[in-house]
Amino acid sequence: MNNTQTLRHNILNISLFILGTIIISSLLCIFFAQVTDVYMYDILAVKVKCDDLLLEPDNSIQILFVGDSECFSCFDCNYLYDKYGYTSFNCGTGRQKICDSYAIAYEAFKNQTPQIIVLETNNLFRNVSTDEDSNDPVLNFLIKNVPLFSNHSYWKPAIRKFMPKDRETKRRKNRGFVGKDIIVPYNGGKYMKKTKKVKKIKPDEMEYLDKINDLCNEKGCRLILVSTPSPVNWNYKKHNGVKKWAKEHSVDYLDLNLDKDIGINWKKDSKDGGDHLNKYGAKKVTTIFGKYIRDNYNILSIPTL
Amino acid sequence: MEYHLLTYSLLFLPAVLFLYNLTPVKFRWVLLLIVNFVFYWMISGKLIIYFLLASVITYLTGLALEHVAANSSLKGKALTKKKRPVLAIGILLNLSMLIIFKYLKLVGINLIAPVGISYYTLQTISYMTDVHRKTIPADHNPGRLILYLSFFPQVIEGPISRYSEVANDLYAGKNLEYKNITFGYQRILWGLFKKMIIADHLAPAVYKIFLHPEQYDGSSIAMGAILFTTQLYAEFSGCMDIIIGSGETLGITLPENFRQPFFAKNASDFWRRWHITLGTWLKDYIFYPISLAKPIKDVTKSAKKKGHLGFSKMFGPTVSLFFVWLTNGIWHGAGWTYLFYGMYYFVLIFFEMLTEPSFEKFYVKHNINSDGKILTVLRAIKLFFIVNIGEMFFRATSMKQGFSMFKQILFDFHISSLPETNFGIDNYDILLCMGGVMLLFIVDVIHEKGISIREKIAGYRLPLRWAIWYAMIFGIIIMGAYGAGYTVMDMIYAAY
Repeated sequence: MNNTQTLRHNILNISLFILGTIIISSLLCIFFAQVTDVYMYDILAVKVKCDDLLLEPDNSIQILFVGDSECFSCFDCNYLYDKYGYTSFNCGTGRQKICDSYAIAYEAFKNQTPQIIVLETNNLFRNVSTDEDSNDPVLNFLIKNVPLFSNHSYWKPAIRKFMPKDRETKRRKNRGFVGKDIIVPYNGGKYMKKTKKVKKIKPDEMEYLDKINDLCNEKGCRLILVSTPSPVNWNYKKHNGVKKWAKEHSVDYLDLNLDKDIGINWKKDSKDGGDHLNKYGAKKVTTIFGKYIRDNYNILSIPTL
Repeated sequence: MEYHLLTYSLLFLPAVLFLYNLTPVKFRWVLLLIVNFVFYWMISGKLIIYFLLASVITYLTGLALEHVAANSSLKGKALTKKKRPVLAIGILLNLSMLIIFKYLKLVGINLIAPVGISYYTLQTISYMTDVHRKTIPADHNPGRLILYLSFFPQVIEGPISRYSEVANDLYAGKNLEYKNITFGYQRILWGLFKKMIIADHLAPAVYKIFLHPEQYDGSSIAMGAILFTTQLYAEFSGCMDIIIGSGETLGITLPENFRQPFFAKNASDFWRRWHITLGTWLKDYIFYPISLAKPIKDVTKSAKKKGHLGFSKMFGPTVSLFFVWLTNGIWHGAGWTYLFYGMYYFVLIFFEMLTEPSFEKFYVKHNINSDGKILTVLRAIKLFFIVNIGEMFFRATSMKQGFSMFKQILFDFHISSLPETNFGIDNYDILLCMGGVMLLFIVDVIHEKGISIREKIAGYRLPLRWAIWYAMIFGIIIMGAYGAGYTVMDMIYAAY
């Protein structure tokens, strides 16, 4: 082959390779196109929780908890049942964004009719948008426009059925609650210093909060916002921001950071220096929460757990 | 713009290649110079002024050294002595910028450093010293010198190349070749695999453990140290693959920075395989000059005369080695952990120097094959511990944290608690990382045998060849750590 022929051959090779890449991508996009009608950020985490709920007997859950790690560290569903007889499931997941809380709540109504949905408020101040990749415009473009990129984590739910089930069984047995007996004290002193300043809930997060509220109204379910004790994550400005929204929408708001009766001992009740509660702290939260429900809500019929 | 971003490999680099090919050969170096400036401006903004200042100092020092040599009747040591102040001024000026930006934080002054200052400063020193040593002539073309100092693929985190290795190739404006482009992109792909499949998946676990090590028992901390070493190797060597692959697309051969480091025989061999260009730089510009310095020679001679043969043999290398590792530690940053890291390897390598002859004698005496399987495995285990302990202190936020983690490993080690530990990454990502590390290990084994995988694959028939590269591309797209639920991590060594 002379130089011109070699050049043509090489250009043809590169073009065909790129064309092949586009064709394979397009085919894979069919598989990776999102099959649900709600947006999910952490697909695997949402799917795992939705699958857990599907395995529960139909219409057996009275209270559904959603939120991030504060949620799954604080609400002990088995303890709530033993003490007050309420059936519940904790759908908290690590760093859960509010869009995923909505996705879980939305999916939950497919086989459950919870009477109360509890949203742990910490994720109201976590960005819904994926701003982490903002310094890579090409990747951002692909994520926004090509399902193969935006839903690439779908490979995980797809192979989930082949994974060992031990951990899942344990998680389901605890009904989503993750209790640790580790003690790492919080030594920072008082953290809820009263102020009139307000940390506003941003529009993106507000949009999903409104959606959850609308969903609850539509399904005849009550939404309760709960801020669980956490000196690392919570402060009075955030309290004011949530309180403002709750007041405007006539939604009940319970800030356990301000509740003196709860009796959190920060020397013993935290597993990581005031970020999350351990199982001893969780018991206190669950007790006070159960009492609050018993005193303020009329929960209908108690199905067998 | 960092090298692992798709904007770099799918937009910036192809645009450079396209423009480069359109440009007449004799102006290609000008195009590359413009590209380098644009790239540097994009990553460092106005701080480019300090880079230009360092380049001008380096250029003028080179010319001054040449001028002194050309206009002096002196020769040999006398001439070297006369040139030395010129070299010292050049080095001090460039070094002072590095010290101001990198080490003033020790006294509470935090300045944003120009990107890559730790790397290009070493290149300026190597250029000036090489001109001083007459290894290379001073470059009269400032464009060519700046082209070498600012070459965009390597300006953020090396490899630390020498003027003689790349300057002329950069200036020549070589024609693009199909093989270079395809091989270059294949290497970039492999780098992205290491970064996006292994390193970035491990990052949350490493972050979590080193953030609150007191919450974990010794076994989890040991695992954290292993994960960090794996992350660092996959990340740094992965970025090097992208950098060297980028150079390859333009026909520029940049020096290798990694050569299967975990197959090393001991700590000193490890450093001949890990961050190679930093090691060779320290050898050429710290170790040898100190070894050959007059005071060292005088002490050695005096000891020899008095019959202290062992001391005379060890003194020079030991002092030089101390300064090599002191520099290595300090170069990494203004922190006690880095200093400790340097001294840690100094002690280990010094100990190896001391004991190696005795071990060799022992093997010969007892007819033991030092390259036998058992000894090789034992050496690999020893090196595994050495490297991971070193990296744990390197990553620790303070010496206190490092020692406390080490203490937990020694006195609070419960292997049974490891499966219960929440590392902050799901089982799928754990399995994926294990698979990725396995593949990395296999590739390292093949490279250690001297086989070029890319050449091997290029010899396959087209369908198989393409199937392999498509599998790699779509493997990264589907399983890479990006988008929802992940954070694309910055390049670790760009921070040093």
